[in-house]
Amino acid sequence: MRSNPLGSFVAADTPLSHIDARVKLLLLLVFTAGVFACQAAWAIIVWFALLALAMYAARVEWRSLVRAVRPVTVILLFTLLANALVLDGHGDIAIAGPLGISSAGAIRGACAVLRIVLLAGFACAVSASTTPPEISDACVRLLRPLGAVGVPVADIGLVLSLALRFIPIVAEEYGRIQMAQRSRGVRFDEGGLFERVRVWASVLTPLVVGLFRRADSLAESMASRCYADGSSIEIPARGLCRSDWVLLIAGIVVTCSMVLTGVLGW
Amino acid sequence: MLEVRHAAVSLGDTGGSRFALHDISLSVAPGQIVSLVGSNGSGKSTLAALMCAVRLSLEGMVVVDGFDPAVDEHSRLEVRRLVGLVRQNPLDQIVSTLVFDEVAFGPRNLGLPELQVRQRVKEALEQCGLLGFEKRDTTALSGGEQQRLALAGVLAMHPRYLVLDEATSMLDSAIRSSFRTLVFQLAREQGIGVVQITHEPQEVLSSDRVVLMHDGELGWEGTPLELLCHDGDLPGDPLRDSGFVRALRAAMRLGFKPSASVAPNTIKEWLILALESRAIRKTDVLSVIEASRARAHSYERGTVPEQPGIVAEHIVHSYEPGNPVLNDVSLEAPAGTVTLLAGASGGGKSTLSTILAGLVKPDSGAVSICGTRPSPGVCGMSFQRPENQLFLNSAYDEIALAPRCAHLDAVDVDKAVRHAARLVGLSDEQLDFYPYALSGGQRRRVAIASVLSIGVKAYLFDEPTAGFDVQGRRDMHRLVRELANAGAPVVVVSHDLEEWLAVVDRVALLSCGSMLWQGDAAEVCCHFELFERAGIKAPENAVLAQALSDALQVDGETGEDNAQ
Repeated sequence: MRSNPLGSFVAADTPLSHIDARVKLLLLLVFTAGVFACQAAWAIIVWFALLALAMYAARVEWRSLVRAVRPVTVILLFTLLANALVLDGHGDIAIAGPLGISSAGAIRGACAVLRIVLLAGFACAVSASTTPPEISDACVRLLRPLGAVGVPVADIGLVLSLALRFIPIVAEEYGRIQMAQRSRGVRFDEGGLFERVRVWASVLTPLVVGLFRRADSLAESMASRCYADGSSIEIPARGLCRSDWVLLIAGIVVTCSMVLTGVLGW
Repeated sequence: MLEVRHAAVSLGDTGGSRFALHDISLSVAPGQIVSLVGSNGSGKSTLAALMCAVRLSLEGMVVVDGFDPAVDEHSRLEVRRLVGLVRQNPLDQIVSTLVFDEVAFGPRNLGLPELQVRQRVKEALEQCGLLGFEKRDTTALSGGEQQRLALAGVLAMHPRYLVLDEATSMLDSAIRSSFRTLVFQLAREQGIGVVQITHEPQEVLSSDRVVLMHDGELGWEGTPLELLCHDGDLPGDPLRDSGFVRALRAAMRLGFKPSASVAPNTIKEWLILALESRAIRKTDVLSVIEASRARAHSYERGTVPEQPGIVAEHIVHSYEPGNPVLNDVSLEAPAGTVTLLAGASGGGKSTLSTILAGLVKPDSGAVSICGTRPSPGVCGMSFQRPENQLFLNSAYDEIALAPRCAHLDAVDVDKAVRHAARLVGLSDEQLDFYPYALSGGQRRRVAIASVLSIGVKAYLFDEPTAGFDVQGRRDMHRLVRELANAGAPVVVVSHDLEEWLAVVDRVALLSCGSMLWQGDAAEVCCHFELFERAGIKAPENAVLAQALSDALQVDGETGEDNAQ
């Protein structure tokens, strides 16, 4: 009914959707580290070129990237201004009195903002080409080596899977309760701050009560299907295919060479 | 054999002297279908939890094929494997996002090797008609598919018994009957013993044995046939209010002997044969038709006032572009009448009702509620399971919420609260209760009263009787009638045509976002092809009446009889 908050999975046969989710998640991690490790301005341009490639492979439009970034616009603007504005009169461009703009700061701020946009873009490409179950499955498989040192990987996997399952359900429930309270005369759009906070209790209280009750029933259902503490579910191993390996290695090589280039100061 | 011997469960966790279950003994053989019936709060679900070893009994014991869950952890797990549980709401039982993982959950918990897990998943999905769904997202399935998935998840554990806790109550009629057939096959072909908790007369009639519970004790036990002979004097008897059962009883008085599962056609054939052999007269057949239509409790109809009701014209609405949920829908619900908005799930009923209540603005089209524009203060809407929306400390505060939001003074608020409470049948003492300390049925009354207290001009009820027993349903029917008789337009959204047909004046059938048909409630049964097109099953009493009328070539009066 509503748009999913994780939201962007597009059920289409895109090149990126054929890549194993583990590879996409690993590359997302590698790229995240890479984006922050490369200081030079030229690196940002290269990263954007890579992003364009990824978004093309996932058939994500630039518009979805804009939508993904919109909620953090205020923070991004603040970052930019906080870096660019100086108040001690040493700004390269004076505005009024001690207030000025430092060009170095502005560039630094712009780089930070662009990096966030880059991360949002790569995340968009991954989530647009991967279903939530694939993501949770990939997380569990990636964590599997930790099972050897006693990490309850199967339980973590179950929790992840349950969380993913419940996100859309909670969102829908939330919408329904809010509508129900509106039909009982509760107004969400008027009154002062205190009043508004109080009004949200009318949605959150039943929502949380309902979730606890649902958790209880779900636990009963799981118990009746023989789920018990410490019942560890074996996750069958599955190998990566050739294109997965190629992409993974190519991604790591590109990132490493960019970081090295930056470190060596070329 | 699944046996419950002298089991008792106390109310609450303290082990006090009040019992939720008291001295229950019951046995279910493999391949047998046992219906567990009774009013809300009679202890049916507690007994179900006992049989699946989700709860343990305080006294007495449960033994399943030689295993007593109270003995040790191993026996408990064995009983849980042997007895599968399917509940009312798929949301309460589906744990995975992928269909394959969902069905594999049980077998994996049993520690089976992956190859065997795959084999079992495949078999279970095949049994439930879900083969090929392995990679689908569970949240994207329809309600009926989710319920079959829940069943598949249980079947993959190779149970010997199934406990169905109102498993079909959230499904619409067409899906409900296919689910029922599936359960019947499992019992007959694979020898699985079935315990089904139900309020549905058809399910009760097709079982081998009926167990009626009352106040935590076994009230009555016998075959469906014996229950039919009892003619409605048992407390919590689900057969009381069904038109089909009344017709069946009328036919039995004429000498008809029903077999295991009774279809309208069997009754018709017997009656016509008996008529031809002159064992019965034409007036006898007419009396059966009459019985199928007559209401156990006829509701008064008020005079219809000359004022506008709910009018919706050419409503188009979509949640995502290019995929309209409602496509040019028009609806008329005159003042002083009850209109039933029916249709298969996913047809747009809920969306249309939120638009009528002024909670959602349609993409295009016009709505008028008694001559004014729709807004929350004009049209009161009670959502599905409204008792889940309560959040204040007393029933009184809940009901007072709406008038307080409208800034009425204390005296008027009190007046509005008392009036609404009286309408739904809540006593003054109950108003002081903490809502969650009330029973489910009373909580629903509080929630509905909290919509009535706002003093609106029109009312919308979305599945107001879901999960209710016979008495609860009857009270709700009366309330809906009273509101309409007082001159307001009332719309009831429901997938259960049989339940509401006798209560409402008009019917609107919504299918796949389009209005298929709307008109007089009495006329809808003359258009059987409509039901099929709307994706719902024709009510059995209507099927029987129609078949008999056709056979007798009686017509003309159909409309008037039903409208009374």
